[in-house]
Amino acid sequence: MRKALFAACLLAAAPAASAQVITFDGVNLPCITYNIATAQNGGQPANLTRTTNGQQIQQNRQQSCGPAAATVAQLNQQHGAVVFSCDEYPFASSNEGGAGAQVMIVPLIENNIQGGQLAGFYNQNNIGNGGAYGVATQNVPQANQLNLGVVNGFNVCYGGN
Amino acid sequence: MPLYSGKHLVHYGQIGMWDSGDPSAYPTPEGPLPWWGANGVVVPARTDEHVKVVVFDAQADKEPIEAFSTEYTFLSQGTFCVGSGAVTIGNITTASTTTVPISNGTYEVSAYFLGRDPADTAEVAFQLKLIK
Repeated sequence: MRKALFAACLLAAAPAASAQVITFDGVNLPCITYNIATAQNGGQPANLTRTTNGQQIQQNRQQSCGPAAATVAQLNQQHGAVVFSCDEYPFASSNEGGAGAQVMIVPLIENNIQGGQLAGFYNQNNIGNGGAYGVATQNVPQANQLNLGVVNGFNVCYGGN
Repeated sequence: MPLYSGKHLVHYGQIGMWDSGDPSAYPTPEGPLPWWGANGVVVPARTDEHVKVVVFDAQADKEPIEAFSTEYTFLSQGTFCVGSGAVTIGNITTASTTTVPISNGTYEVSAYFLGRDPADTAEVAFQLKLIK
């Protein structure tokens, strides 16, 4: 199933034209854009609504990335520093996030930058609780352009080749 | 006494402080943290945890931040401007933020963290010094 995921066509669904759209670029976020594009191609929505409910956000994150936490810690311990993080799509900060989200362990720096872009996007576009927005990707790498693996059953993207 | 002390849920490994009144104040994320912008700063922090944030006012406290805790490690220093009379502190994606009133002006900001790895820290500190 995971191999099928990696081999999937990376044509992402187009978000609704009326909503604000955040676009992630595979040039600087290869693993993140790959995870989003494959998730959307696999049926996850391109149109999300933000939640500002802290409990829901925490629960979404726990339901999606909680099971991968031990594997992330294991990878970080092997590297002697925090260099990996769990990425989920749809985002934990959306009503569509939580159980069933597609997760991938990615380089921390990509996760940091994605979060910074999303934070700036929410702030700049005044997207509050229930606010609708679209998620798009560009320059998404193919699977053979990434260093991919599976650890303890979790997809890991170590970066671009 | 610190100007502010509180805990914020961190996602995406970051805690920020930026001008509350400027929608574009959140610094552009380029390269490794920290990120400095004209109206804010973002520093690394332990993700998926409630991280303590302490803000000191250099003028009011009249002591170097080391006087409050010798365990802080210096991370970075920069400047940013505040024009709305307040800064927002915390993490936007978890909606875990608070607004702290401060004087308008240009601040020299020093960022510190507890522990050995800034990406794994459970406490960050900022010292603000109004320079003009």
